[in-house]
Amino acid sequence: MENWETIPVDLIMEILSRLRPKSIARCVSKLWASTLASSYFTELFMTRSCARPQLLFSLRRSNALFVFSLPQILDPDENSCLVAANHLMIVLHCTRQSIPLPRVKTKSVGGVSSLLGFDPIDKQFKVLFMTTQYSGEGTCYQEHQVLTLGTGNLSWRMTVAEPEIMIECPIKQIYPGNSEICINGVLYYVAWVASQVSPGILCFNVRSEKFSVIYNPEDLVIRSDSTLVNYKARCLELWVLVDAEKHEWSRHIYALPSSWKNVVAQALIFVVGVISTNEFVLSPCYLVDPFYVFYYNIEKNTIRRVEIQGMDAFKHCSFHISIDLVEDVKLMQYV
Amino acid sequence: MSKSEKKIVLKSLDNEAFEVEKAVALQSQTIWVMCEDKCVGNEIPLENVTGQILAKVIDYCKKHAVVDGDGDESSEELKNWDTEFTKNMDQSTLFNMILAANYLNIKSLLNLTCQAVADKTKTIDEFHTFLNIENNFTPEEEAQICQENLWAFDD
Repeated sequence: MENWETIPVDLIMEILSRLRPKSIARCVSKLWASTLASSYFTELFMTRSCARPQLLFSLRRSNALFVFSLPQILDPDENSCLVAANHLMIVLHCTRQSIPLPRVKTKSVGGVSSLLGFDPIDKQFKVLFMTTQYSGEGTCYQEHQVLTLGTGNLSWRMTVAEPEIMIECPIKQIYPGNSEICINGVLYYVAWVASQVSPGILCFNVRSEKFSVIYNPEDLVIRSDSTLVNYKARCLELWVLVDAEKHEWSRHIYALPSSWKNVVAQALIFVVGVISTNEFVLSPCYLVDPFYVFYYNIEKNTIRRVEIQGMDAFKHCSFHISIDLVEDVKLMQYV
Repeated sequence: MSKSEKKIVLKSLDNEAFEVEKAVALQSQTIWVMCEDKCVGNEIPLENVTGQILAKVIDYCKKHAVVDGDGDESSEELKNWDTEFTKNMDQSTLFNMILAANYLNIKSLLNLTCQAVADKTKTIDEFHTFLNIENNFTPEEEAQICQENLWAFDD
């Protein structure tokens, strides 16, 4: 009879990295408990998880937060249907636990927003917390604080804001919401820079904790509610930031496929993001019934939709969709 | 290339011989290296794999081989075939397939079989019996783990 001993350790890791996080938490063997906590295993698990990213839905009803996930990349066949209702979990995904971050000490009473960034070199997550307070005449005072996850010491640090950037272009306002994205250790988000008439893009280097500004061409109007993509009735206008340092942009216009009318119909939609299959994930702005998530493939010029059932239980709730959810199995004590 | 050169004989641990197309056998990186190095003749002894398992591995390789035009099945069909292939394998066969895939270095087969084991171990009982793990925590320690990870033990 085969058992653990006859199989090489790396093969066992191969199998375990394919299990659900739940099954891993249930591994009640001393030998494997330590193996599963090793960085080799957590990284292997992360790699596997990255290969099958999921869509994360979070809905707020009264004081409860409902979170569930669905596979993101589906077989590229016909429009399909997923059932969400059975997957509802309260508070945090998977463990249903949430870790409160320490309260931020600030004198500011203005708007606040927080963004999560990842530094791929040190493999650290950092939370950037921003407060904005107006002091009249369009100027404002802002405070940036940073918290590093995974150090065992959850505490906020004031970041030293780059004086030249702050003087050159004091940030008028920071928009919380859908508009941030973290690529290769740089967090890009929409903020209103005082020297510009419309919101622009700010960069926060997660590792060095330094800020910089990207200037956009005059004919590109970034809206506070958009992710660098403006949606128009019959075409999609896409501005690609080619080089952040040189402030170089390129503009692309895509004609929407003729099937768009049938698939999307009159739905009011916004862009959630772009996934690895080069598909734009689009979501209705409101919780309508039936609820569809749309996948628009820019290269093949095709559109398909996936129905999410069970959303009618959340009428009038606020909701948020995130793409590229991956699972990490580090022990809670290391958070 | 003459007909005999296109064929290759794989010999299992229990001396069972299988004559297969070279294109089929070369999906195994191990066999590929052996052939490249010309360290073997037309007959390759595989000392870690039994005939019963080797027959299954060859089935898999035949299905996945792309031989001059024929064998380019649609990915959908291949996926279904893969699912059926591992569906009814018992624990012992699956483990031996993993070991064989690892030894022969056939990455896609290793992926498939590891995933099959993972898919079959969704609950704690299955997990333990399937992988034959001995629970060596004391009841007190186990109770504490359950308490700390309540979310994992509720179905």
